[in-house]
Amino acid sequence: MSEQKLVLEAKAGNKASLEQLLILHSDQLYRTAYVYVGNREDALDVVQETAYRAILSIKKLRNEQYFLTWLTRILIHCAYDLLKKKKREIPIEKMIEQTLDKREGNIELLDLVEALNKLKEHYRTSIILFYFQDQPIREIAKIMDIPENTVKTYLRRGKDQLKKMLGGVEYDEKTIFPRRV
Amino acid sequence: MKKQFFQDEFNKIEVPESDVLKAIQTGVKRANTGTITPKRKTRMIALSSVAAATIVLSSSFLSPTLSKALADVPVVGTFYGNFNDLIGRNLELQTLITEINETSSNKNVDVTITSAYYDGAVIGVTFKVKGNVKAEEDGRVSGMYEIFDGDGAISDSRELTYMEVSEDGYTGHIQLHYPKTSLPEETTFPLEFKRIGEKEGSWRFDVPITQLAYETINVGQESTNIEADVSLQIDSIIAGNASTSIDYTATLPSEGKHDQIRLEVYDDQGEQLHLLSDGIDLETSKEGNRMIVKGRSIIPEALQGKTEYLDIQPKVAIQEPKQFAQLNTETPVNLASARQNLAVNIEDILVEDNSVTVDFQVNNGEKGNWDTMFFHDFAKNDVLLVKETEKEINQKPLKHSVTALDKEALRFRSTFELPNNFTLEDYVLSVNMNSLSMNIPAPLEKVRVTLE
Repeated sequence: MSEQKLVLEAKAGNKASLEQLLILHSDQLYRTAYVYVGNREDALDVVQETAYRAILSIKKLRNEQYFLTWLTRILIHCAYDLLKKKKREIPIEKMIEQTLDKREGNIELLDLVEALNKLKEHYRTSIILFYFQDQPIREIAKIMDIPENTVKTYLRRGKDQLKKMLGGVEYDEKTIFPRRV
Repeated sequence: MKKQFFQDEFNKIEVPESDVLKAIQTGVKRANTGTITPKRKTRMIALSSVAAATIVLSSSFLSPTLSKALADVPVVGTFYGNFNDLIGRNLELQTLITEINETSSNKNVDVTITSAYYDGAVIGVTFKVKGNVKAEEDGRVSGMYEIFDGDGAISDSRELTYMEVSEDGYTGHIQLHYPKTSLPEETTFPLEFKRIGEKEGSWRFDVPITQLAYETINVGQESTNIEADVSLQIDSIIAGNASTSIDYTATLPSEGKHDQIRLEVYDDQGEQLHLLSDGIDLETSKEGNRMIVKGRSIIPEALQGKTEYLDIQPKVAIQEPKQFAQLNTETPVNLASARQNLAVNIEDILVEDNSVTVDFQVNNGEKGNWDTMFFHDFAKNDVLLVKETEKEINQKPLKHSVTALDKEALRFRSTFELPNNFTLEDYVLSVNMNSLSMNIPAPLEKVRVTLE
């Protein structure tokens, strides 16, 4: 069945079709979540939460053409909610320790994820969508609900900050030496 | 920044497919709560795995009779089906989860410990919550708990957990590493919930845990990095039923008390194994001017039978002290790490009316696996001009720009803008090689450990 047909069915209230769509995009959902939260456990939580919210709000999807845009937007909200929740409830040192704790796999990528975590919310989102997901500026503008030129500005600024951070520790940053990685 | 690089990295992110599927299904199920009939599959799995359990039990419990053993380790339902705990799930398949039914009530909320496992150095607990608790917008409930009375010496002794909606309340799970070197066979560990939803209170348990049969492979192989003055002995491998722990003792010089030990572990196919947790500090002591650190790294799977040996590549990320150079020093001057092959060679310092220009080479031009950009960032962020009196504290450095003189040879030029009141003696060049060493840990010798 074509994706568009699945979307139409999902919109009409067919939950199995929506589940199928989520599964169809599961790799991208997981990877994007991973880039936001930096570890497997939290990324899975974000995916779960996205599925949950997608089911509850599928009726609000106006144009079925933009299913993935809509879904990505939900995922990003979920990722930020999770990150905020962690920030609110766990002292920051602990959080850093936890993220480092769960380090696994590709160190370069994780350095990148860590640097991304320091960026402002909209810089980060535009970078992730543009660089990682290879979304066109037009699409990013839609997901973020901002003008295309603003996306370009965010991208440029985010990129500059990221460049500064990658590989180097900021001079005014509190030095942390966690032994756990 | 090249887009291709990001996309490659993105595509390299390993997707735990069955877990992602599970996450989607759980999310969908949560949204449909109330319309789902209780699972039937559970029992079937449980029954069919009795045979497997029998074999494991008869070979691992020597004294108790089989029936007693079965009572201790009953075949239980899917405690871990909904939780993202690889070890728990795997043990459940092997029916090695012990059912517990202990309830603590406070403020009209009942918390019940429903199961526990203790495999090698890893402990897992599942629990359920009943009563009037306030869920968050998404339907889940959060809780705060302490283990070992929140002992500050134990990492992660206070944690936050999220519970999922179940048929008659909420369920949650906790996984922790036994925080001590010696692993008692049978013990209880103190677990106290301090908040459930928005209710503060105390729900306290002494969770009884019995260690599953495991094998200790004594290793005693040593690995060193003479220059870094670090040695590491792989003491033993704890081969559990669904987890493998590597215990080691690292000896560091006293100035290396903030060094990080990192292990990379490969199987006999050369595949790198994911670690559940790396570098858990169990004990730290001082002997003369040496630091002795007993540590542990855990792999969330049983490896005997899957690989003949483990290749362990220990690495140490050395904490580098800042190094300084006076501006009137004779050039070239080489600021080199005392413990590893990292250096910044100051080739030339040119002081003018309004600026100071410093030419330098990083790491003698050796890039290793890193991109030039990484060293460019280092040149920009960690080679700074600071006030002599403030050199040890991280104050705002003088504004500067960096250009690459020779990218391939890692030669850079930094130009610092001088303030009006600048005097040559008041400022020093500060080089902080920590970001290099944290990203390029120094390898020790590889150790091959046979598992058979």
